[in-house]
Amino acid sequence: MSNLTIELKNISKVYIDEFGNKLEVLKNVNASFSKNKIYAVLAPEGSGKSTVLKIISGIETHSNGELITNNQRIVFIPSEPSSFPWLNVRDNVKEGLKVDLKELQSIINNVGLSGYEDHFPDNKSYGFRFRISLAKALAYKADFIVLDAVFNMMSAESKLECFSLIKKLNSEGQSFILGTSNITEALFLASEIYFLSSKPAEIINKYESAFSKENDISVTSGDNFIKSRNEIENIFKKEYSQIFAKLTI
Amino acid sequence: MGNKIINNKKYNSVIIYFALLMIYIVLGELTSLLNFLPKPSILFESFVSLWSDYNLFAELSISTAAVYLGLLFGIAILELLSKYLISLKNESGKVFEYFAFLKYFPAFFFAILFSFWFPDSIIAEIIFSTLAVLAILIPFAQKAFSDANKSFIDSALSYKVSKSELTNIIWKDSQPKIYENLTRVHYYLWILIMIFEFIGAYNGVGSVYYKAHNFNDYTAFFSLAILIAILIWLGDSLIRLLKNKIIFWE
Repeated sequence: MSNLTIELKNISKVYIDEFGNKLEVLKNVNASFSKNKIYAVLAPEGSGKSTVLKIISGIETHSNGELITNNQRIVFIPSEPSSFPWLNVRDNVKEGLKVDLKELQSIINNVGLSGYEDHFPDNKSYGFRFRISLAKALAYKADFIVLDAVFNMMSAESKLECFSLIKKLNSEGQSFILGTSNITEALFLASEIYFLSSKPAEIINKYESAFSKENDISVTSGDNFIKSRNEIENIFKKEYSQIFAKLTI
Repeated sequence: MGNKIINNKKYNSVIIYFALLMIYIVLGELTSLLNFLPKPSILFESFVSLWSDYNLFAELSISTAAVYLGLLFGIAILELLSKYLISLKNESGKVFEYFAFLKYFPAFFFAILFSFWFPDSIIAEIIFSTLAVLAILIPFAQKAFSDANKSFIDSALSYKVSKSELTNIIWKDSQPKIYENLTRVHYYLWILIMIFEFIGAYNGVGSVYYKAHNFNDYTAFFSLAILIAILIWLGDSLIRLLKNKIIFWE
């Protein structure tokens, strides 16, 4: 038996507006995700990447195809902060969950929020709020954490810290599915990358990255990394030049 | 730096107000240039006579009770109805659309209607005030519910939260957007209550205005207006303070 835990088989999504017009967002999306890995779904902005991630997370329904999740606990972390500003860090993490205090504290320490337990997330940085969401997902014992373009609004410093945090959690066995439009982000974090075309979105390629185990960000300026990035750029440029412009490097 | 600029602005405003007051006192008392305004000394006497001749303490108590009890009851009812309104978000929105034409009717009409149905009743005044608060706040609430933070909802859904927990999240997220309008509601409420009392001419500050009008007491218009402005300013400050303490998040 394979260790595949989430599988998307010919998933399609069609929206119908109030006038009855159909908009096909996803077309026959096939993908599979196993545990203990970081996956990336690389696609241009507005291509339907969030829709794929929301379908995986069970927030949205699909129109056709089959989604097999094997009862995995999947948590979705959106690009905008999702921690509640009316609760402090500790209450945000345990809200709606049954977690004992010792475990709660250990999770808070693990995501680097030790000493901030009584702080409220309002007016805090995107990195800080992302760590709260991450802590909550860990407290929920999520099998997969789905990250939807979470780094877009972070400062460069926060982004690097969060990259390290994700890699550290992955080395402890946590699985992630990252949605992004940034090639470097996908290549540096994920071990497997799915390329998604624009509406209707289809999986156009799958790429295995050799850099997911690297912890030093300086690897992104190395020759091998640049070569791999160019390869990905060429895959998109070749047949999808019109959407390549919507990707970031 | 920022605080210093704000403090300087406040200081400048105080100087300007004080200078204007001095100009009014000097010109009003010693010349006839400002004869469209009451003389400062007469205005001062009027402040004193309002309490004795117009029984202002009792009338002011009634209006204040009507405004603040109405505000309190209106908010309490909205808090109680919130979950129901959220669960009916789309349907109730349509219902409110059907009644949207009512916003073109002058508030005066509703005040006169209520005063006609329940003459000389303080309880009716409080009910009118409560309904006015609800009529103003519910559309704000509807807007806040439909603009609820999508990230909170998506994230909560992935945790498979119950419907009541989701409703609670939407309500918490909407509260700052609804209650940021409280000072506006507070101001409208004072106007509505005074119209209501003026029409009823039985009790409250509105009735004092009615009597002052009948007695051609020109100075009382001004002294009453100044008193009410101070009350509204104090009320606004208190509302802002409480709102920032209770609903501290944005």
